[in-house]
Amino acid sequence: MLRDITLGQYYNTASPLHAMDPRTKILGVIFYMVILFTASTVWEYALAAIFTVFVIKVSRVPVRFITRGLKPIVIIMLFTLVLNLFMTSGGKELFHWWIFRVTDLGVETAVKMAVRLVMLIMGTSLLTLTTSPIALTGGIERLLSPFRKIGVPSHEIAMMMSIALRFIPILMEETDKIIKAQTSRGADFESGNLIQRVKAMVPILVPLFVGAFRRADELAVAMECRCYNGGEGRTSLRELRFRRVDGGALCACVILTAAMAALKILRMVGVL
Amino acid sequence: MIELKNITYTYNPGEPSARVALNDVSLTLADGDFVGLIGHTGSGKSTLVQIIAGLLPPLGGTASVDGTDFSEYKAAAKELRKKVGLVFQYPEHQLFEETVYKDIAFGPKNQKLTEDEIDLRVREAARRVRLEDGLLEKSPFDLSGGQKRRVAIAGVVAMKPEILILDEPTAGLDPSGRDELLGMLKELHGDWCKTIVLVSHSMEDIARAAGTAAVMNGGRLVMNGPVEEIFSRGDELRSMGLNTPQITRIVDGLIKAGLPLEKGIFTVEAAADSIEKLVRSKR
Repeated sequence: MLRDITLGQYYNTASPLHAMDPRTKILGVIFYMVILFTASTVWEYALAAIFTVFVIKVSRVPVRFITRGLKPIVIIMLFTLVLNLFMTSGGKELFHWWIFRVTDLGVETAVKMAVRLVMLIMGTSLLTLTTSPIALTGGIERLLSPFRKIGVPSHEIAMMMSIALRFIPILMEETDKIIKAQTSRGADFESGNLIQRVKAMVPILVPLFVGAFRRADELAVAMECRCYNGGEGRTSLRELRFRRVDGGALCACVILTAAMAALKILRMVGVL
Repeated sequence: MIELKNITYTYNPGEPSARVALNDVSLTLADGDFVGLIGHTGSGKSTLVQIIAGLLPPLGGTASVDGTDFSEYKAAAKELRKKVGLVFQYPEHQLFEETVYKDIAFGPKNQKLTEDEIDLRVREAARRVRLEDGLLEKSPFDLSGGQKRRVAIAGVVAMKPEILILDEPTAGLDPSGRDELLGMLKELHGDWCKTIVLVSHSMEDIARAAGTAAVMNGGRLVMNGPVEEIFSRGDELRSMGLNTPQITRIVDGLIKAGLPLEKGIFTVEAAADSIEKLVRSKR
């Protein structure tokens, strides 16, 4: 179960998407989100879906790695699906029972919302699947650096993110080990009522927190030992390079987003 | 008695990061054994002990417990967990209770023992791992590293497992702490736990405590037999990046240099005896 979380798990392979500048990919994801949230007609959804499939193909990441990221949010998805299905008012009534009313508009909204969520998770997990955590945070730092002047601590934010990402697999491994160790001591996490189950988590959570603090402490000391004192005057071993393919990809994203926005505006003023 | 046959295990099967951890491993742990499980880092030792302890379903192979064969590991795992107590690497990282007493009592409590029996077990286990009585009411997080480790080991020992497995229990301990721990295990063996498996890559530890040794290399069990026999195959061990105990290498060197010492010495005490005998006979 613990291994199902794709977030922060880099899939190492050679692909055009892997070779791209992380800044391009981060901006691309932002554009992608804008596209997803402006899409409203079936055709716009289809366009976004084609784009998603295309990018997945280009990434050379096996599809099951991308869909694996969906498993943990199945509950949230079902929740939004049900909520949209029953809470949407208006439209033609399809089904009525007691206080539950399902309208065609409700079905449409629910399906669209679900599709949007699936694409959102798949598209964004592609960012972490094709970009190593170091490259990712490097990209974020550079993207945020113009905001330094207004007091945004871009280096510190990037450093905190890279540490957090780095610690996800470590803490997952640690959790796995603690669960096994307590299981070996006869702990039972699967039976009992809710309160008993929550109580059964204590032998896992306490060592996990203690371990996280211990590791944080050790890391802080190790960083200080190497004279780390923030981003001032720090240079990178690997300079980011914005190449032609990055420019092309970014242009494509901008055009696509602009097209979506144009469609929306046209629809709003009533031309379409 | 536990018998494992043709056990295989692969991490992340079907992914680019797939790694074979165990390749057709068969191992029998008989009552009364004190087995040293030796192997290089990544040789599959830790995976194997987790399978023995019923915590990790293998991809292939069968297990039998006390002569009962289990076709499915799931059924075997229940029996294995009852019989086997596993002390993980750096077990002190798994302490969680408010007091040492409560932490040691966690296992026996899960075994649904009576209050009196739990109290008896906790005190006996604490005595066995040489924790002073005064420490029982302290918070485990206030103890020293060595004490924490002993509390964690006591937590498993208190369950009185038939088979006690310890994964690198001496890692990070100073020499005196290591001697004490190994002495403690020898005392536990036979009278408290029928069988002990000591996982280590320290040949000195194995030589000091174990009766038989099993050597793992690249996911396979490559040697299995009495400690004397294993340590007489120094060249093979060296080819796997392992070695014989330091003292064995010294004695072998002395023999090569022409001193008529006995062969098959792997503790400092035995070497001292042998040299003393030689010196006396010369006089």
